[in-house]
Amino acid sequence: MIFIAGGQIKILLLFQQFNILVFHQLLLIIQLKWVIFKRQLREIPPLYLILLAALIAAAACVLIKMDVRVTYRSLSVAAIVQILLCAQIPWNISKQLYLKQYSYLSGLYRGINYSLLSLPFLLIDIRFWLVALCTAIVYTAFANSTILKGISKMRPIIPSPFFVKSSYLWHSRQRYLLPLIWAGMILIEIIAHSAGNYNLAIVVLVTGSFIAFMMTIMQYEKIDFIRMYADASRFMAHTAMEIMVNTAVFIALPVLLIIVFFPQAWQITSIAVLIIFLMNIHFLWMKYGFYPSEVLSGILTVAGLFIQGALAVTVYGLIALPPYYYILYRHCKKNIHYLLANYEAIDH
Amino acid sequence: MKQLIIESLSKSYGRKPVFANIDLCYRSGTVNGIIGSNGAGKSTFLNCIAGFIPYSGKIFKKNIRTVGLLTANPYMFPRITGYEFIEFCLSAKNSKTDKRRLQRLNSLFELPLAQYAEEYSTGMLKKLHLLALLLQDNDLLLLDEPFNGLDAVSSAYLVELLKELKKQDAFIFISSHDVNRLIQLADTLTIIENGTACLKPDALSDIEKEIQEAAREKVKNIFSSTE
Repeated sequence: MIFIAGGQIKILLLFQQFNILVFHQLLLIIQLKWVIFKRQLREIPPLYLILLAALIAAAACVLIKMDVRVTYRSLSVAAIVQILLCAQIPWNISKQLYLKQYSYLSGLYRGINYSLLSLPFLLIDIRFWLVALCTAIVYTAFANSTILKGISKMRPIIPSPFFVKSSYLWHSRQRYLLPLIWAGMILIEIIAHSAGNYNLAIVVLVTGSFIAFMMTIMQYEKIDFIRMYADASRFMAHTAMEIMVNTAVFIALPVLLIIVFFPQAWQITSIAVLIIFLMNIHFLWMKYGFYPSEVLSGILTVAGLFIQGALAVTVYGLIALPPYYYILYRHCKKNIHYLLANYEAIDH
Repeated sequence: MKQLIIESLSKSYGRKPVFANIDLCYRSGTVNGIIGSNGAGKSTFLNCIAGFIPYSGKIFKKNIRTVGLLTANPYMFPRITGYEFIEFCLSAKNSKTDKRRLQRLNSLFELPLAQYAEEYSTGMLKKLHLLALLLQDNDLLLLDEPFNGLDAVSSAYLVELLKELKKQDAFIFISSHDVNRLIQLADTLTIIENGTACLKPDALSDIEKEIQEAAREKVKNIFSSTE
């Protein structure tokens, strides 16, 4: 009896120790993340901070007012969106190896990151959030498992011979994201054709391109990749050429399908194509115009898209678009010139 | 005494084998050098020992509870100072920062600990991780390319520091391309080549001569065949 009781006490003590350790590590990560968040926030100039707050408030308002019925289908969509969001978090090998040295730190760190991504669902409906949170926890549990590694090995690597050779950001996204979105766009366009729904086809073309190109172009790059260029003019010309060719390659088939399926709406389709090209140039110049700050370029990209949307409503606004792009071009070129001239001070 | 016994260790990435059926044994109070050509699997070998990546075979760690690994490209969190990073590492291992000891060790590395660590150069970052590992008193220390990026003075300090740790029964593995430094330091030398690993415990000084001789022969052959 004494032996059994002793064993039980030992198990209880071990369980208690485990709980204390997990709680300690959890607290440590939260403290670290909070410190990093506060410092990053402090670095944003007040004007941009106001803009950021306004954007977040606007997004929160949209999410709160969103009227989505809670069904099995919508809950499944929430889970899929959560998985896609989790898959976008970069998780490099040196970070993994560093965190694995400490008990539970790797799993908890991942878990917290994924759980934070589920927060916007809370604004729509608490049930969506619970589903997203559970998905995040399950995703964390499987993230290191052999099952997920097996799945990732099964991912087909589709070659992209049509993209410009030097555009490595596009080639890296071609491994997973771009083919997925591209195939989805084509599939939905065929569905739109069979349903006779032009709106669905054009919305899919624009939103699909928006997601694909934003996630491709806005990826962070080390300064070494900018240093390769001899001067700012060559940088501007080469990157613009890359974007134009790659965008054309990516949207060629979806656009062709829309024109074949809905030939009467060719004018709207042409405007949509123009918007996609402009949007990509906008992503490009915003990213490099405010490099190395990802936060600033991110905020101003969204703000810039809103501004252009507002300008496009009137004819006078449309006239203001070319000067807007010209200013953006000048600013980007100036920043690249600065980066090339002062790289010693920027990077070690 | 701490011991590390490796039995039938095999590792492959997908269908590509890195090494197979390695049987080796190491004990504490030694510095164990690991050499091999680029891509031979030195880092993979260390990661297997640390238990951070899956492998087949068995690795027995006797009296080893904690493992510290210095990776070839150390990771750094954004917007935290060197001092905060060390505090974080120690706290994550459930130990407190001994400020006096930290100051003593940092007098060798001379790191600006109040500065954001992400602004450090590669060598400084490596020194910071080393500092954190040394303060943790791990039972097993795995150092992947510790001399890369370090200046001559810091490398010399590190060699002396590791020699001192060895005297205190530390258990250290170092992978490096710097054979000279390894010869200065190591008690055993493990060579990873052609999918296998073997221990070369004696005549370490001959190894560099052997490597140089083999390289000379190869270069000579290439030039004689082109002429």
